[in-house]
Amino acid sequence: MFENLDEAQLLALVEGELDSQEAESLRQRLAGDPEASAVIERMIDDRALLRCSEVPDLPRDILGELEPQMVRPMLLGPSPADLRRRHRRPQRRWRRYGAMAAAVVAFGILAGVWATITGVFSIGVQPGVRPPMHAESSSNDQLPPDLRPPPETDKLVLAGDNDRRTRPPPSAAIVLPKPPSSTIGDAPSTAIPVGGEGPLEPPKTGDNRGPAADEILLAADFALVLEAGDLASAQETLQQLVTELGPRAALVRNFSYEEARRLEQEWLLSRVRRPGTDPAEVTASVNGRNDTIAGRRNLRELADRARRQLVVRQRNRSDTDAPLSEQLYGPKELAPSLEQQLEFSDRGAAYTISVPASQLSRVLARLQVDQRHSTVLQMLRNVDRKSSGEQGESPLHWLSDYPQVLVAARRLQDRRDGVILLPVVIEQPRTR
Amino acid sequence: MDAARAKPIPPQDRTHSAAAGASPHAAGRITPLRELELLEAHRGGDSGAIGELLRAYQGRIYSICYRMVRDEHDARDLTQDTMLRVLQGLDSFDQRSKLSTWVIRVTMNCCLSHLRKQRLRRHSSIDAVHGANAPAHPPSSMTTGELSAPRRVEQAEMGSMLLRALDSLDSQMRAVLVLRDMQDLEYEHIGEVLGIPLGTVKSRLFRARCALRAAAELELDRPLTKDDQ
Repeated sequence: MFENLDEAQLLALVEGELDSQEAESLRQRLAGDPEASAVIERMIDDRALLRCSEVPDLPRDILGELEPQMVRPMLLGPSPADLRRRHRRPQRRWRRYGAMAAAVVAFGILAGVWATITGVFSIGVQPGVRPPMHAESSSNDQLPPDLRPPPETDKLVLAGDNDRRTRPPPSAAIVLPKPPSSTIGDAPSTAIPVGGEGPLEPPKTGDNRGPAADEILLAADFALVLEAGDLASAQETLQQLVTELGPRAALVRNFSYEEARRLEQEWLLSRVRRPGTDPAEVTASVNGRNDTIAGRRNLRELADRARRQLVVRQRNRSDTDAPLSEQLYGPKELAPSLEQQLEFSDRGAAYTISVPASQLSRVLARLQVDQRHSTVLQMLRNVDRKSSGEQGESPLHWLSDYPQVLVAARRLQDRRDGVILLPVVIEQPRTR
Repeated sequence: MDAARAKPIPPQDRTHSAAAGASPHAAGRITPLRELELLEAHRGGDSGAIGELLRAYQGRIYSICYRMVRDEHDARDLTQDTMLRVLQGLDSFDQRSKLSTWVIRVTMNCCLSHLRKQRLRRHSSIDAVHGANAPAHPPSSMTTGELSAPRRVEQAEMGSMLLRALDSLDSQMRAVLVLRDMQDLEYEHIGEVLGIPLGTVKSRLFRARCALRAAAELELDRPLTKDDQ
């Protein structure tokens, strides 16, 4: 249609990029071909119409609609570039394997040809090998029966087998102690369906060892936020996870100021019952402490006092380092310190899981999103932010946390020999 | 047919640069300087910067997605997908191109990838385009301005037909038209987004316009279905 016309000029006409003189000149040339002229005019109309087109209103806050679980794979999963590299890698590997296989086949053929020519693989007596035993039978017959070698079978023996036959049998079987079975192996088969993936693979060598006395405990700045309908279900999930992780993992319910307060009150009230104590004085003391608690002043002192009191109560136990909170699972060496538990619980984390740094990615991958749970990592809130969050935090908070969490998680993962204390915040599922 | 081919009224007082800005989704746009500030702040660890940056772009991303796939649900999904990719790639963004160009390129890649998958999945006929799933906003999807009622109807019909024709185009052609006419990008930027040289942009744009016209003619000759009415 536009055989004798310059495409670029026609486009410029449609786009309105020609000045009036050039446009008029081009239109005159087009006048000779009414069909082409009409098409160009309609193209101009089309352009105007398309530029008028609208799109429906944007959903109110599309960022807020991003589900937290969409970020979780982003935190853990490889970047698109990594994925592309990973997809390319197998091709390279197969190419390399192919080359190696071709080399082996070629070598085999050459070796076969050479062997055929030289007769190396002929069956029978090999050069430099002792003759078969029956050749010595006459001399053996002269030996006393207990010194005679065992009777020979008639099977043909290749050169290498002579050595095996003459090698003495092992005198006694050395029984090696069985390696301690991992907790993974002993885990109950009824795994709680915390996610899309199956139970964790048994940990690699090194992770399977028990906790050392001087484990490096690394407190995370971020928390695992686990959405669960009820606390029991969340606890069950965490416990199962820790079980699967093996002996270098623990789950602790964090000691909290509320717990300290309760213990303190119990202790003070117990004093009231003591003979010779002035109840009014004790009551005043309790009230005074309540005021202190209400003002959130001197809470650490209160916690320390409660802890000491508990130790006094457990006099029969020599283990004075026993954590105050109920340690649900795992060795106590991996439990966070009391102060750490207080800090975690004060920032909204009800539990702490101690996880080998090398296992962090797998743990998070294990906690896949499913209908019951949704997990996400976010920075630990301080007290003020936590209280504001309870009033209805923006769904964007996890998104803004992403860069910080990523950096913090990678930093911890680099400490391969450490154990990460990962606080766990339990949240009610959001209504979507 | 003549009525449908009535000349559209060009938008009143519409300048070249205002074309894209007229969209309600352009409301959240920020200046290039502010973009750079936010980018630096994000790299410096400011956790709030990324939210502001994405908020500023969400409208534009959504409009490109919608114009490419013309399905609100898909457009929303693609917008989220794009934003995640932007988020992931922001650290590696080397500032060789403008941030807006880079974001549009990511968006367009998501859309083209989606359309490729969709084309593979689409075993059924072109009814998917013409049928019940066709344009969510056929007659009202064109700005009609201050026109008389009959002209409004004509222009809306014309616009609806044109969008259907656009749907039937090859995704690369559709992309170049969307970027040029609906995003108001310069040829150079289109080239950067699609990764093609300037000359190719121009020739592809012209071919896309020819193909759109041809598809529109087919649409006009096609008997009206119940869904079109």
